[in-house]
Amino acid sequence: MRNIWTIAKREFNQYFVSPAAYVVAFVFLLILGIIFYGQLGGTVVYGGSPQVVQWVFGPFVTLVLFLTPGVTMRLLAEEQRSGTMELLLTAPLREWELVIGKWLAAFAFMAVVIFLTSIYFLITNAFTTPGLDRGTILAAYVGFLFMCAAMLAIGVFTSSLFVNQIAAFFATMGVSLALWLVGFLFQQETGVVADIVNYIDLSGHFYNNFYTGVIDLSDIVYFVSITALFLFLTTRTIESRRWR
Amino acid sequence: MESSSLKRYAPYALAVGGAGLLVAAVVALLYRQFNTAVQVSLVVGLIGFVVAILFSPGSVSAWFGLRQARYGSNALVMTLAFFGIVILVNYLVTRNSVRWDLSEDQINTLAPETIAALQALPQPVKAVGFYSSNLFSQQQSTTELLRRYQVEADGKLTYEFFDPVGDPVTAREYNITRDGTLILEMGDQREEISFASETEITSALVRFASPSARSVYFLTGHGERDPQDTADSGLSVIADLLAKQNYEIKTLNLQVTDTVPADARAVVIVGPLQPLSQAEVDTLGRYLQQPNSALMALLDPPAQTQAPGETVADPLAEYLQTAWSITARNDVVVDFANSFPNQPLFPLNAGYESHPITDRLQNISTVFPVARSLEITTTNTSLTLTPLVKTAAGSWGETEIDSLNSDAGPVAGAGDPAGPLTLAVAAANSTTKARVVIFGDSDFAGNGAASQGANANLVVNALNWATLDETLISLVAKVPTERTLQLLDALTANTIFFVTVIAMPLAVVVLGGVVWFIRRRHV
Repeated sequence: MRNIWTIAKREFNQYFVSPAAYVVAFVFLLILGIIFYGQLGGTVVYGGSPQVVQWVFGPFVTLVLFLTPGVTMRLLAEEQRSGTMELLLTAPLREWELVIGKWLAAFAFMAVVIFLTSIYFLITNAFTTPGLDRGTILAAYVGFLFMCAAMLAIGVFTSSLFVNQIAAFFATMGVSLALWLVGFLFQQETGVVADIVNYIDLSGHFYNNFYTGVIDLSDIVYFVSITALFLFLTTRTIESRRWR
Repeated sequence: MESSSLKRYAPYALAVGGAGLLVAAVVALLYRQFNTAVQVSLVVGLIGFVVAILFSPGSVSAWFGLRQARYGSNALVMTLAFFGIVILVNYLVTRNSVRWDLSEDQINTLAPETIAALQALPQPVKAVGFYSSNLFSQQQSTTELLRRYQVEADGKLTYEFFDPVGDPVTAREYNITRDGTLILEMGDQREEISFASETEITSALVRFASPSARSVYFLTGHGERDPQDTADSGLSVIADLLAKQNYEIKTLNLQVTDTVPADARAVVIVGPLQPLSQAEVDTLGRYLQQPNSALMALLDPPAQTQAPGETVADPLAEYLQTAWSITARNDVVVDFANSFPNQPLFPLNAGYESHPITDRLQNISTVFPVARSLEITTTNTSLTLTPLVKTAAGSWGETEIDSLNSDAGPVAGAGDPAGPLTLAVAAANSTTKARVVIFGDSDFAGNGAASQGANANLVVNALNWATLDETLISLVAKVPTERTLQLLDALTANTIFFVTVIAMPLAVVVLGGVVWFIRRRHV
């Protein structure tokens, strides 16, 4: 566990010394801020209840599809490019500890970014009578954290496959988008194949329940499975460097 | 056994194997089914691989002898095992999942009545939805609702969707005439639902479990509109819709009997040309003293049914006034603004009042050709009266009937009731458990106008509500708590703008700059 913690801490600190993280956070907060303010103003003018979960998490989900590849592309690709991967593999450190440490750092960074969005809910809640539906917001946050965990695991995996960070970025985005959109193929169909494909669909597990205020154990298990699966595959990929 | 001549063909066999699997995948994707072509391609592909191995077994064993192959196959087995565990866990959890609805109003949770109805189902039920791409969001909400049913149904409810435009054959098979229709099937029983809601679906499930026919009696003997009549003035359109919801439509002439049949779930009176007699109204009054009795009356203005200048007593109107506090005024609604073009006597509704009858009409308009207005006169503590449809503020109830045919046309006078006017009222008596729905027009339900907007659905919804099982009466669509956003002044709005659009992004940039500066100094 100490190895995981050491790596996670080191990687987490790396995010805050890199200008890229600040640029990403700036763009992300600017876009969300503009959308939030526009929606808030529209609700004040035209009436209606403040759908702040939709205002924030609607665009946030789209942004995350670009944000997670940016957060994870460096993690293992950079180690391979600079040749430090060999050093890590000879260190008293298991592959899975390295992988989980890297993923944990990325997850902690994303959690910080996600935490920043709470300001939008606090502001809206202050001016809403009788206040926002906190249960729905909590469910949306829980779901979003699980979804980000899964997407970051995908990112860590693709980062282990490439030396080039740009390739890792686009590969992560491609896999995440494919899992995000796969449900569209069978959205009007039923049957075993459609059921399986729709179950694999990443977006469905977020939008169908968490987004509406429901926490379903099967959604949690799905996101945990995707996370575990891709972290396992990453471990196997790194391990394969020993015998390839 | 390996011969060099056979070994030469091994790559070709391997190519055939790969091509077979590829073709199988493409055909399966195109046809979306495991048809003969897919099966044949799959078999050809597998045979190709087997033949390749048989032709060149040495290559295979040599490959397995490599160090990479040993470690690789070890990793592959571990990966497959991990995949298997993940799939198994997901399968088991999906079959036995647990849900927590964290929303304050529990808007994602089915009512206890629904869960009881699902548990009482004797056979599996299949829901078949027909939604075109134009109604995608409606399909999404129906899917979400059916998913909740499926979770609670313990395998007794399945659902599928078809696009009635893309798949007209299936739509015809189910006799679908309207986009956005949901069919529920259990064995031979079938129910059609126009606007999927928990109330509608659960009501259908309850009827599946106890399949007694829902007999509704259409009154005859006074020139009422005929449910069998397919002419513009007939009611066959409405009757067809009711039949699809398993209503049994019968007729009743109270001039030949002084009792309403015991199996009547409702008595329906549509546009009588002659007033009912006092004896007939007394019979209806006795019937409406019984629990779960219902009356739906569509009453045209007297100006439409009586000769000019004639004033005939209407015992039914008097009964509705005294027993149900609903006055059917002797006027004709005029609206020059919110009506059919150049048809001021054809007013449109100006929105709907909130009620289970109108909640699912989704603001689709209804038009009432030549209507009278209704008035809720007093409120009795045991009566719950709800106006359903109102006209626009610019309308009025013309009481000078002669002016309707004058050259100058109708003008709002001092004695005319001013808009917005009520055109339909729903009433429930908590003591007798009887329900009535009164409309100030019957033309809107006739075949000529029933297809306009939500006219037909308004009638069907009204009858569904009037005949709703008492145990399901509390099962109405959940209304989330109304939350209003109030920004006090411009300064507050500007402060929010500054914080969210300028300060927060800028703070990140400043923080980044500070870190960069500190690091630069340490280097």
